[in-house]
Amino acid sequence: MNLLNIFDSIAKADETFYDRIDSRRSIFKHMLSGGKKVSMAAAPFFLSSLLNKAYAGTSGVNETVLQVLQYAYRLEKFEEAFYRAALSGPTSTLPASVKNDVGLNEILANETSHVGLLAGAIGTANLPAADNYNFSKVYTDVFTNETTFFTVAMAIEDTGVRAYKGRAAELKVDPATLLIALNIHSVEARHASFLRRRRMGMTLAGSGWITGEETSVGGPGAGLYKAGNPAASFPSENNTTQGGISGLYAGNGIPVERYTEAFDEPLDKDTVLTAVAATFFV
Amino acid sequence: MSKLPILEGPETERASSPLNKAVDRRSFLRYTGATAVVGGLLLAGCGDDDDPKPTPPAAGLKTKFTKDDFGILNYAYALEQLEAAFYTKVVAEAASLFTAAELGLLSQIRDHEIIHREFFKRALGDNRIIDITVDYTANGDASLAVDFTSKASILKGARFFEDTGVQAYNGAGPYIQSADYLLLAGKIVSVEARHAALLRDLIAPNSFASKTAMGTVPAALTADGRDMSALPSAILPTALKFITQRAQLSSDLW
Repeated sequence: MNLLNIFDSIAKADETFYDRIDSRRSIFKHMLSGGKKVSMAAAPFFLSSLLNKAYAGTSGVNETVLQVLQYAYRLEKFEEAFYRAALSGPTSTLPASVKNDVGLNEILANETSHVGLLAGAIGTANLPAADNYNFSKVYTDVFTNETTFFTVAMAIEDTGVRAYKGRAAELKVDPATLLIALNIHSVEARHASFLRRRRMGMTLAGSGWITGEETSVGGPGAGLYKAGNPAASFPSENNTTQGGISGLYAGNGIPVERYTEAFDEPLDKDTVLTAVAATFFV
Repeated sequence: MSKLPILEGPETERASSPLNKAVDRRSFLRYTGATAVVGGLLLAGCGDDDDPKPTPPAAGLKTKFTKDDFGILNYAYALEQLEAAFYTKVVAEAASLFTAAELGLLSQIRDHEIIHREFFKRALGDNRIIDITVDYTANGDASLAVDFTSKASILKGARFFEDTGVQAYNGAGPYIQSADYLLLAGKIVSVEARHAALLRDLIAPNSFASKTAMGTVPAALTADGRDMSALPSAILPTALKFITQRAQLSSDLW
């Protein structure tokens, strides 16, 4: 019998095992720490302490996972309220072509679904307090001017994509929850793609992907496509270095805009919440 | 104990590739090796999922999707190779079927997929799988075959590749060990979702994120509003139909 097979057997039964103990690598660091030899006789005690570390305090949802879920929930609640106010709210004078738009109503329905999914994962007792919104706080004509509405909506969806991406790694300890988040994340991207074209009257003058920092769009796009904090981890949407690889594509005739479009970038929680709160929360 | 192939590359190549940052398994081998020197504990075993290294093909490239991060990235690399080749052929040979605006967007998607393909090729280096070419007959499966004289058939194929790409990246995500690679997969999957939404709307307006089938396109999402992820073992049997070299490839992926 060897320890690695034991660890792998545990990992097969519990996919989060290696994450619970930081990583597979940490096991060996642990074993070799301080130059101490771990003898076979000591192995059972070592294993026991490792398992206690791995499974201590794991009742209910992991604290980090809970925080990420609460963050996602607040953003989805905000999105849902935004579309609801735009499509049927008392202050919206957007034209019927917008209020009755099949795609926009599909987006609203999806946001409602996401709120429900996340609420279920969080549990009633841990739901965050409701935020209060003023959607016209900064973009005063967001529900009276169609162009403003679509520009803001597009930026909100693109930010949603960046927000999920920015925290996905924190969910690695909980593969089932990570999968839910990934499957919502890509829906936000589908929404963003549609809104890009819908904003341009579905003429295909709008594409579906983020080109650089979208400086030509204006409005909320002026800030939400830039780098977060730290910029090394949360680069601007005009980033062309991926996984440490840069300058890879020079000379193949593909314009630099395509490189910025081909990879979406993550954004950190503080940058997202600060921007959203400053623009839409009271 | 055999070394992982990635340890055998030239130093300069290693430094430039994100896959050569310490990965758990690589470190695992190092620590295991170190233990043999320090002595005391028997750590000779590798996990059950460490298959013996397959016989390398002539070019020295891989033919198996191994049950680890390399395998997942090679799986992504295979799908990106298919997509890049597909759009390259569309733009080169079927341009007359599309409006200028449509062709412009298809050309942009082609460029994105080429960038994805070249990224994985560079990142994986000598650990990448063999170059693959596309069998547009889908190994004789008429429900999947692409007819390059038909706009509808091309869009159907494109939509299929993009939605499949989203399902594949999402389904593999929880199995990615490295947080860096998980992020990279996330950076790419949302772009695939943007493509999928566009192609769906070109076929059936407003189907970009629909929970039900619209026209000829199937539902994009589950009834509770999520993308429909799938495991590699569910995706590969279909994907392999499009891969001419299917007989050479095998998978240990989940």
